[in-house]
Amino acid sequence: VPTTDWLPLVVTGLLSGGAGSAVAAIVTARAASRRAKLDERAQPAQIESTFLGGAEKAVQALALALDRAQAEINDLKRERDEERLKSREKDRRIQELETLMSDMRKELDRLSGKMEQARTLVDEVKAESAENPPG
Amino acid sequence: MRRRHRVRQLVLEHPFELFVGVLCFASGLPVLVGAVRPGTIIAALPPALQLGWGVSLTGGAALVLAGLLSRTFNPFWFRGGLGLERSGMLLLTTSMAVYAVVLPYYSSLQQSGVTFALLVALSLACTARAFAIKQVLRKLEDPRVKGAGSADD
Repeated sequence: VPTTDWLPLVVTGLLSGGAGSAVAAIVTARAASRRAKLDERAQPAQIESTFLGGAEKAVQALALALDRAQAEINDLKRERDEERLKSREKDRRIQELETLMSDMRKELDRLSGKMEQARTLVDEVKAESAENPPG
Repeated sequence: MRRRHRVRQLVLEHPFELFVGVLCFASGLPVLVGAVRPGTIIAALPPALQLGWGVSLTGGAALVLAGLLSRTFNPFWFRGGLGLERSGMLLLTTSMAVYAVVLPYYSSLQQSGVTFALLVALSLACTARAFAIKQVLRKLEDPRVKGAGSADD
């Protein structure tokens, strides 16, 4: 099988690139591990302030959560009041419309009565004119 | 019992890495000592590069296995184990890529298409794993994670 000229070059490049990145990865990991160890050693000195800082943060977080809960409660109350107000407004409007309808019904009854009277009057006039034709 | 539990956990959590590590180590060791070498590699590469390929394959697999086992049995060496695994994955990526590049010169792509695709896929998977480990290591370096409590933050 003929070997191309560039194939060994490509393979060399790949292998050296891979080896380089692998060594870099090991060195980075080693450095990170060493830093972590140093941090762990430094920890006892910081532990008290860390503890207090953590407690303080927890209290702050709790206070914030309480504030948020209170704000949410206020929002809900305001919404409920608004809804109540709207509901009252609707009740009032319904009441008004019902009163209006009742008045209109009364007016209709009154007008119906008058129309009945007028019809009766017309019938009487017709009957009278039939009995006594003009001329 | 505890050790068995850890081995079980390792197999269940990292089957791909473990399998590839064992397979590459088992197939790379004979290459390294010169007992067996794939015809493709012999035909396409000079002896020095054949050896380099063997070192990359076996060394990568050894690093992956060392990383996996060390962080499984010694949780305090978590970062170190991840670093070893990452470097091993990078070497395995190289080995797979070299094999994939060399393969078409030994047999046509029609004949070796499946093997070629598998090698490319394995190479990509190793790269992806190396990248994922890098992300984990970066997260571990993040002061918000690392310091669950330094007083400064």
